[in-house]
Amino acid sequence: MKGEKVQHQGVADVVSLRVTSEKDIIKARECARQVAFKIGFDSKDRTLIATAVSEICRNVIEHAERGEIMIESLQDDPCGIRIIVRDDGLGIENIDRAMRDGFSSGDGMGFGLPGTKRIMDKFKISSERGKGTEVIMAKWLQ
Amino acid sequence: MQVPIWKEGEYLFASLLTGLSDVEFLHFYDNLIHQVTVHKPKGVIVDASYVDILDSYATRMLNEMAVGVKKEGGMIVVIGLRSDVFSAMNQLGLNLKIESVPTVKEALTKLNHQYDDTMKSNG
Repeated sequence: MKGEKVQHQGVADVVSLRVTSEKDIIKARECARQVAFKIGFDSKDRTLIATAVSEICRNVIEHAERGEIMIESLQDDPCGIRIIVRDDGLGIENIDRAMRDGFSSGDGMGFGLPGTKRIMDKFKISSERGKGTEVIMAKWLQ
Repeated sequence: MQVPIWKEGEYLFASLLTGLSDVEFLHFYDNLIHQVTVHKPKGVIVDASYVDILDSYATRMLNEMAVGVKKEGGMIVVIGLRSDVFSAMNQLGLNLKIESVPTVKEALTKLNHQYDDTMKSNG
């Protein structure tokens, strides 16, 4: 698995990757799929997680050009995967509008953020104009 | 990585590969439209059985390909789309505006029906 491995307290495993090009989107989603496999997610959930990572990393490339993703394996209480994506781009002017189905400011179909929220168990987005955006999302192992 | 496109009889076939970048998708789009313009096939069958993810960008590109092929009088049918990939697209809210069937045989049936209907309506 490519990426830098670091260890955080309370987290079983962390993989950190830079997101600076569209090829990094593919690396990030493959990495998320592998971590999800190790945790024990089934094929359907692994695809959901990889799709979520693809959408959020695509936002980084389209709106901030560069950022980073951390994929964490959570082993207990609850067991699952947590994904943190940060960028230092311009930030999102209106998060409520960005979270509406069909709203797109890029090359997608406008389902990236709201769709990702639907397919993950936890989704939190925070953004500040001029400082960047952070998405924290998680899926629990059922 | 280039998406292979080949002609077989009156149809064009393409096999989508996993892990295609955005640029590679764009090349596929350009190449497919070019091949359709040159060969004027009855239809295009795109094998998606190797694809493990279709995000919003890939879905939009496929939908645009369908529009481009339709302008040339053809139709695209996707075969072999995995159920987990289809399910993730649905949950994300993505709408693939292309017919999707499991096998080549069903794709050929669909394309032949569509071709016959077009011929009838054109007199």
